[in-house]
Amino acid sequence: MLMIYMTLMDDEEDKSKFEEIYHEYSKLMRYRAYEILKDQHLAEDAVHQAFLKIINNLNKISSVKCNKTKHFLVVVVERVAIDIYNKNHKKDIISYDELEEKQQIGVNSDLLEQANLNDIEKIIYQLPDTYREIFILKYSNECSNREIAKLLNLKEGTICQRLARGKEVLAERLKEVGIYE
Amino acid sequence: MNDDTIDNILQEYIPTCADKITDYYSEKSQYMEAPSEQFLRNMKRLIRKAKWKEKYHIPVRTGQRIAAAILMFIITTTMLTVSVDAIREKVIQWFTVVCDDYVMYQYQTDDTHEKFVPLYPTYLPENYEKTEETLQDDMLIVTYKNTTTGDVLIVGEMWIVDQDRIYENSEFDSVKDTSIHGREATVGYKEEGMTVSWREAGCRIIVDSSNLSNEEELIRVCESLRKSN
Repeated sequence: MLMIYMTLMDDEEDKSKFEEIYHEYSKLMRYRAYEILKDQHLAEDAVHQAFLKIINNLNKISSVKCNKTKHFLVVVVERVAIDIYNKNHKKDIISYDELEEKQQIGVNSDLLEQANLNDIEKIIYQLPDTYREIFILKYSNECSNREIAKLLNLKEGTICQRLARGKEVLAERLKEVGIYE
Repeated sequence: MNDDTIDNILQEYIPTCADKITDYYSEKSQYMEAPSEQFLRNMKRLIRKAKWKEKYHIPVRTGQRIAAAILMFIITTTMLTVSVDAIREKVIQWFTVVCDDYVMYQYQTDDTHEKFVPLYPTYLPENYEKTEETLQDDMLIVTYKNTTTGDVLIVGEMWIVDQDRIYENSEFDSVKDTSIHGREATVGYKEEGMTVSWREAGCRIIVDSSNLSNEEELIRVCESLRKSN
């Protein structure tokens, strides 16, 4: 009886934050997931799973229509999509050295040309996905290591290691192109 | 290049880089095909669950919901069970008997009387004086103290209503059967002293002594108890 009552309470005016996020960003998330998975059904699965994660992290989203929220949602759906991709392609466990040379699933070569990225931003964009997503959560969304670990289903120690390693990789690449010595 | 420099670079360029990337994605996503019916149905359901979670804290995942429902069922059933008097008393009894190592007796009065008439000892061992008395409509507790040794004698009587449940702590090291006023009585021995207890005139009477060596005197005190009027 309670369930029926709550169903009847579904009011158009009573849009929750979650519903707003869905209406605002579901297309963007589907696009990103499709870019990685190249399959509409898998992409929709990935978006659904991403939204399941977002439900439990709604408190991290203060404002629906803001860039930080957009970054956050894109990182979440990218991670879910990459996990599905890896699961379907049965990736083996690899070392950190191999991780750097691993094909970057989420990188779009057109974007490098068309998105007006400067040199440093291009290098950041071309970092392996595992480092880039942590950097975005840390430096754009200001998440703590613990929050990032919970979001990405990793241990806090792993996050710390990837942060450190990611910075090393970034430093090497910046040196290679002579941006910083 | 030190860590601070990299941190500064990341703090400066990550937000702008992410902005440009997501703007690019947003622009391109405008050309996405419409989602499937299945996806729309799934998302509608998820939105409803999210609303319930926000409003009523009902978990979203089915497994959690089932666990929450089972827990609610157990709590509701337990509360309903406890509200029934007889069962509640059984629960209390279980706690008392099992957890506190008490023994439960159920009494039935075999004396008819209109009111509680307390019994007082007409004999006391040497040097014992009354130090305290509590007399109520259904209870008497009198304390006598030996002015020389400090030993204490306590006479307690409680008027028992039919079917009263009495809980006694079975803390005695040993017990012995005896007879007081022709009625069955028990002498219990423990480190701190002795206790004689029996039933008479619809009351449960306990005479407690802190002096272990004076059993005969204690029995004599019990036998000397008489009605006050």
